[in-house]
Amino acid sequence: MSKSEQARRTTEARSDAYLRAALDCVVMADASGRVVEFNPAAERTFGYTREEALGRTLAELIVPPWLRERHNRAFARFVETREERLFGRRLELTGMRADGREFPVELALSRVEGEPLLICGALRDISEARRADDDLRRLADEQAALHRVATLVAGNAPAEDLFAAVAEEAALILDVPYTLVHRFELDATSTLIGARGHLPMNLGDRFPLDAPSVMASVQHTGRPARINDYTEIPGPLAALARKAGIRSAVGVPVIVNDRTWGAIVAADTETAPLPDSTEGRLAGFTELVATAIANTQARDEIRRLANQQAALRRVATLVANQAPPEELFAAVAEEVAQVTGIPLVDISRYEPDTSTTVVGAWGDHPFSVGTRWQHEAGTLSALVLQTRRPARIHDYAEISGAIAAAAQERGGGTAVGVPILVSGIVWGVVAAGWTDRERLPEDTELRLAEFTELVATAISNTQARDDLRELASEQAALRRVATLVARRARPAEVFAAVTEEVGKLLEAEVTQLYRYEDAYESVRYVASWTRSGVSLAFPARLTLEGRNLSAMIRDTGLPARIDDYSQAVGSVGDQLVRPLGIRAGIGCPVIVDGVLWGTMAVATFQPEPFPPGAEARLAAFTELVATAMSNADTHSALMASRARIVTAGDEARRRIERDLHDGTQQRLVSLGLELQSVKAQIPGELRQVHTELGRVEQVLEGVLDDVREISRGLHPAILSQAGLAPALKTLARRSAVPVEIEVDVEGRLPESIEVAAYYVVSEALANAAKHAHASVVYVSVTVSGAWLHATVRDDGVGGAAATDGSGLVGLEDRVEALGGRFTLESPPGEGTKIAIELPLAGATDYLETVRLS
Amino acid sequence: VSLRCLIVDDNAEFLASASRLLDSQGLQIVGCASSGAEAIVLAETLQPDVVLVDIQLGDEDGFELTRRLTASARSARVVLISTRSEDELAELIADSQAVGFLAKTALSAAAIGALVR
Repeated sequence: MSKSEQARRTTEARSDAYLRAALDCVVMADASGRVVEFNPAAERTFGYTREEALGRTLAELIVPPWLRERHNRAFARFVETREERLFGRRLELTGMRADGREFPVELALSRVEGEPLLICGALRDISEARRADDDLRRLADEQAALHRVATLVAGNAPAEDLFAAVAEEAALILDVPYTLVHRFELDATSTLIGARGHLPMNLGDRFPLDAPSVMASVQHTGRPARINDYTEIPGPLAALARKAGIRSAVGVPVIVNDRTWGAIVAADTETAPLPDSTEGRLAGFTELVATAIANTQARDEIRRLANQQAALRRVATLVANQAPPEELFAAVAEEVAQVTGIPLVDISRYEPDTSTTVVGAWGDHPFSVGTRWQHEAGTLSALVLQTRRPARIHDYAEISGAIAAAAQERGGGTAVGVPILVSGIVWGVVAAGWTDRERLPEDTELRLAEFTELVATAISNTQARDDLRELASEQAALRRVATLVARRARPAEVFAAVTEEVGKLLEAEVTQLYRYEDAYESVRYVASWTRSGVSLAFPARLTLEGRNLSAMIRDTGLPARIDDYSQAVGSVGDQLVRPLGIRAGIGCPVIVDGVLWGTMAVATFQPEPFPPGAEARLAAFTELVATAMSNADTHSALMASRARIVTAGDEARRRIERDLHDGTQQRLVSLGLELQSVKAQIPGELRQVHTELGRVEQVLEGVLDDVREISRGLHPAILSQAGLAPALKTLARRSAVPVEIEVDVEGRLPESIEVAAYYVVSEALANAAKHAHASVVYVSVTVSGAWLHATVRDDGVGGAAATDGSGLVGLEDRVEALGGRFTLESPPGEGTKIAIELPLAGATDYLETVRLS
Repeated sequence: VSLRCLIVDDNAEFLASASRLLDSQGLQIVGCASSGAEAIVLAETLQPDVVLVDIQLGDEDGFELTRRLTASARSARVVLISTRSEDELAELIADSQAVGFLAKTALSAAAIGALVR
């Protein structure tokens, strides 16, 4: 072998070895495009054996049909022009394997030196590299998409924006027509909250999860789920999917705080199932959504806390400003509802009996403010009252009674109640209710408790304020009565005032004052007050057998109470309690000068008894009654003595007048007649004697006139002679001013009454003539019932006053001494009116009547 | 013919002095009574032309006696007398059945005659 031959062989052997070992495909073709070399790598890549390949054209062998014409044109141009523009460059083309599959190839071309023309191509399958590239790009896209979503999350974008973005990005990344974001509800439904693609459903639509679906599986397992072929799936959701042309779908859960909050679903219309990577790639989005939701929830929590703080502050302000309780309760109910999102909130107060009253309510509440109901076993109010602790009701269906029935009527539901503790006493309950069977949030009790504390503070403030106000009104009431007592008002007036004040103060319906009699075996009605203003048929006398306040007070000498009159027996029960409808009452002894005189009692028609301590408040008033009575005793003694003095005076004057008339006057008259007789017997010629006798006669006349005047001043004869009516008519006739008189008095009246009335009219007429310059005087004297009323009215100058030196003062004294009233109205320029009232029974008798009546 | 006169007064002294005076002045004093009951009886028995009646006849009422005297079959004419002035009792006198009033100090046969005629 020649050296050159050897060298050529060596070169060939080297080249052969290279071709065999080369990782790249090496294919050589001649000017006609036929394959002249096809190395093992080419065999592996293209799927042809060397033998199969050799002699066939490149175009038919490895160029996909859709590129062949371009390839042939380019190849022919190269053969013709030998243009080497493409040589030495890396080209990317699409190759085709024996099985027709296409794949990306990297190609470098070179020309074998010499002739004939041989073209050598080194090809490399770059599918893997391309795929890695794609994956990288896709990853980058995915990262970019996730980044965009994450930016939204970080920016606290509104939830609907976020869900829309997630749907959009996921659809693009997964290259599917539909994506859906679902939120799972507590009632085994899911709500569509984000979507991409034209779906036969709207955002906010709710879907039951009882039919087979990706959502149902995700919700059920808390793990990703898929349906590869919807054609055979039963149920409405699958039907809906088919309607949208969906063939396959993948769902991935959104897990928030270990809870399957919702799902993101990707759905495709292609026949081929969604690739295995779909779950993993969706997961990136679900995590972001979960983060966003967790953030939102945290933010909501913060906002909620802030809201709650603000709400508490608002309520606290109301408390501090001493807002009216009803306003406060309404505000608390509303704030609790707003802050907690609880639909029904009410605040109820425990009553002394076994009932509860709603004092504040919010929401479409079955029990409006003021509603009162009995505790029913198992209800919140009963549980809270029993345990003094918060209570829960998980299902109203398990409880019987009106409250539970009302709750069930509204769809059952759940409820939480928290006690309002005021000074260690369960004052009431704040209750929160849901109309459906949503789970009760764990912290509801805690959150309600913050409000109940404020309510409790407000209530104790209010109670303190109420106590103060009560004290103030009590003081005022006591002062009013005390003033009357001090003014020595008539006992009837004091009784009227005291019964009214006590009734109003203790919020009673009825106040009664009774006096013991019959050796404390019975009581006699003295005075009363009723809230309605309607006078009730109080029995005049009640015997005290059985159980009643007056008997209890008699037996103990202490205040007494009866909280429930339903079992009352005896006359008190028969004649007073039942006919009037009294339900509860308290009474206190009235002790006058150390002796149990009577009882004062307040009663109510309401079922609630009087609050503890009401007796003490009542007692303060009974003491005033006692003082008034004691005063009245003194007063009545004084009045009696005054009346006696007046009457005795009147009698004395009448007697003196009578004595003067019957004695002195008569004797003087007789003397005068004797004198006339004597005179007649004296002869006419004794003129001197006649004259002397005539002078004596005149002196006698004068004396008689004087005595008559004295007599008249002592007592008006006509009054004792004929009574008040003629006497007044005589006065009217003799008046210097014309008088229009109307007298309606039958028969004779007690002397002091007649005298007093006579003098009043007499003095008034004298005043009208002397001072008032009146042109007419109207006199009216009438008797009605036990009273004499006299009025004298003139049209004079007015301005009269019952001051010292005025004759009116004596009249006023006289009238009041007789237990009567004297009033003088005399505004300047408007005439004078004098009016008196006199008790016909006399002052002493009258007082006794009041004490006994 | 002199008037036959019955005097009714509870005061004996007055009855005596009035009788004497009027008698001296020509009246025929047929009787004196010191009470209403006595007066009724005497008036019935004596049938006087005129009866002088004291308005304040002790505890009795002269006006009441006047009513009874004038209500009898043969009505006597009554003249009311009193130590008081007419003014004090004018209404009662006017309302009575008496023919007139005389103050006791103005008592005279002439005055009575004037009232009766």
